[in-house]
Amino acid sequence: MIVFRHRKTGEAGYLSHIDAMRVLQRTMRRMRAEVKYSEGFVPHMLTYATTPLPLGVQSVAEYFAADSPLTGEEELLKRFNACVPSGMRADFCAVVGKNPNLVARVVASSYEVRAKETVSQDVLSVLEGREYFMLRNKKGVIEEVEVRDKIFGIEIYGDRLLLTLATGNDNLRVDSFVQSLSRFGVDACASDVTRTEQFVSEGGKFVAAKEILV
Amino acid sequence: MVDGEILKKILLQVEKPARYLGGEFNLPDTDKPCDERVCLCFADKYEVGMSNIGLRILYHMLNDTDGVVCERCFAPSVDMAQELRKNDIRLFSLETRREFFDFDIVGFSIGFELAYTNVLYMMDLAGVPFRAADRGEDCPLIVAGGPCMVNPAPILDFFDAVLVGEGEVNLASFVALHRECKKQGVGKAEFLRRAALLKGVYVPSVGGKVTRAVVKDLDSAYFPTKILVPSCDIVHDRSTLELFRGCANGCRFCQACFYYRPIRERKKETLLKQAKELIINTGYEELSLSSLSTSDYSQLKGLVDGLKEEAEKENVKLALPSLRLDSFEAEIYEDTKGASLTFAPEAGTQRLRDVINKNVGEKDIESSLKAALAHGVKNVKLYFMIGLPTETEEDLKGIVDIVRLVRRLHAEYGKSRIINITVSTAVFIPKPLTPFQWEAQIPIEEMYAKQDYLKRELKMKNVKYSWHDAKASVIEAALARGDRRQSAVIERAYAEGCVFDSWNECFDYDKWIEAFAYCGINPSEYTGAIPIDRDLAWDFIENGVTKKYLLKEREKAYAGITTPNCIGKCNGCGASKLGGCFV
Repeated sequence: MIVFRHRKTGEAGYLSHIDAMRVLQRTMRRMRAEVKYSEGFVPHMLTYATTPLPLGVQSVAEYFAADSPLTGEEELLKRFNACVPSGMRADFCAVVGKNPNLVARVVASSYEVRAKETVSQDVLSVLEGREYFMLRNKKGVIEEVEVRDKIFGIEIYGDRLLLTLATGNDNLRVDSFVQSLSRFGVDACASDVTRTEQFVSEGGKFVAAKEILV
Repeated sequence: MVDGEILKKILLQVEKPARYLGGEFNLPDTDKPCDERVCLCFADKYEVGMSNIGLRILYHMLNDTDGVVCERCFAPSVDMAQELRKNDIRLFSLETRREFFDFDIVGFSIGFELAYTNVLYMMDLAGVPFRAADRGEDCPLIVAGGPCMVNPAPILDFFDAVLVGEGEVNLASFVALHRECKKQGVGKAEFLRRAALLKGVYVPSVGGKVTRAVVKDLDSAYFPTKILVPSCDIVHDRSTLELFRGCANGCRFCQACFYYRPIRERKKETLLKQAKELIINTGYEELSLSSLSTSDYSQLKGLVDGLKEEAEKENVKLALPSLRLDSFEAEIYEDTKGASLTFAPEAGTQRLRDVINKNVGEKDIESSLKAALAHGVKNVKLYFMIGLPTETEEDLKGIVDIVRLVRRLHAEYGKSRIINITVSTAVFIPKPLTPFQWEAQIPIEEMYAKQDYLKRELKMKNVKYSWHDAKASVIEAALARGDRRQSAVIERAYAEGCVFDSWNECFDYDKWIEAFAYCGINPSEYTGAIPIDRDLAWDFIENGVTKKYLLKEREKAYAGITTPNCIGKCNGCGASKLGGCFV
């Protein structure tokens, strides 16, 4: 099993999850990764990704695993980058014994938001409160939801906002959250957001997904 | 160039933003030093245009030329157009987000008459005047090419030049001449005067006649194997091999058959090499074969065997297009493990099939179906046309009889438990450069009546009937045999809001009829019969196939006499004088 940490930036940030998966599967074919196929009536390539990003959100920390017998991280990384569109190049590769099942294990992600102007310190009040309500669009129905438990961290550095939010089964959509911060005067949209890392929980602590693959 | 910050915001508001971004794998170097920039436009959405093999060939051909950069532009969907207008952004190319004004040449590929308003839509969004006469030196040269150049009369006023025939020849020489003229400081008018002398280039402001340009040796002609692999889903999302151009069958309603002549093949060895390279360079999981009649490829069995071997090794699915009934090879079919079979008898009775020269006999249909059903086919798709010249009620009944035959044969020989039959009918449209180019199209009421008859009669279990929109067929017919008066109609239709006319949900018949009326033209002038001695709007094009041959074929049609496939024995259509016919 080979796992890559790749980016999804520039044009690739606007690719839907399903399109991005197809791009990566074709990358596997181009790099001749010998990925195994399922043995069903319609065989499909055995590849695994992490939680989808909202359209427009950029990332430098997407994980993609493929059931391939190949080894040699350095060479695989080189081959991957030669065969993938430039907006999805990888900076890390690991060869692991079995599927790390990151989609189930990732519990949080960190994001960097580039706002148009200096971010007000008032945003930190979100962490002080016991509740935080925001609007959510669920299949066309707008509803108010309480998400305080899904907000793990907020830091402000001028016009940069660093967020750590729940990811995975109990996901908090970063684009909706950033939009909700407009009540504090934060002016940013989905394409101003970059996912910087994904974390798994180990002994009650957040550990970068990359660390558990080494 | 477009402001990236504004674009970022816009893209979040529109459906499928990946359509407007480029960034695909195998993107050529568009930052290389160049002295000529060309933008190839396709007058439909990204997913349709990116599936076009002609655009693919020409895009890579130009980018593989030293000193030339070629970019792409597709018709943005209506939501994107609204955002562009709202934000005062002009239509831009995918690669470097340049406006039309930043290019030397903007070329439109037009494959369908109902795309004409989309050309104006794109020009409008790009901020260029529609009519060539209104465009000055500051505007790029705007040219058109593609299958609609069989009769470009309705759109001639919009273009500085039209490229008739195959772009490997005329687009290449047009671009080369322009580079030369640019170096010499030659202005637009003089350049166009010189361009009018090139093969396959017609300059409306110069006039005269034009001979269609063709590639003489297809086997050694440029064919890209390091092609763009779109990141989002497109209509034909697969690698494609082009087996041959032209068609030997001579079905009398078929424009493509005559337009793409002479018949030229690629060698099996060349195709196998190209297939190998395509599989490696693209990562596509499917490979298909393209030609007008794949069954007629002289080395089909050997090619399919070779491709099958390569495909199995690389886990690639080999997709075969519809095969002609008379040369259907069950063995090939079985090997490709297909579950559906597509047949196009086009007419319900042998009499009408003889009229249209669809050289398929009753026995051929029966034996082919038997073989297919015995190999476990579960889905049969049948394509027919209604409104063909001399059609009678008996011919319509014949369509129903063929469906019954499939059901009966399935009961007798079928291996699969059930059989799904899909019947589709298109309305006959008399097209230029066919033996039926003088024929009338049936009135719209008659189209409805025939479709209603089939809807009634084909109400059978596991039979699905679909039909082509009658109204769209009328407008398509009117534009197909249109003349220069129609440029005003197209402008008016666009002004009325007609755009994406080839998309059913967007097509507005009433607006087109209003546009014709506004210009004082009755569409029936173009959909009715044309006397054979009348000059035709496309007579200025030397297409290879002669009018004399088409008239002879027309006479034979009315006499119910067929003309055999021309492989092995030339029927003398005239196309071979353009060079290269292998028969």
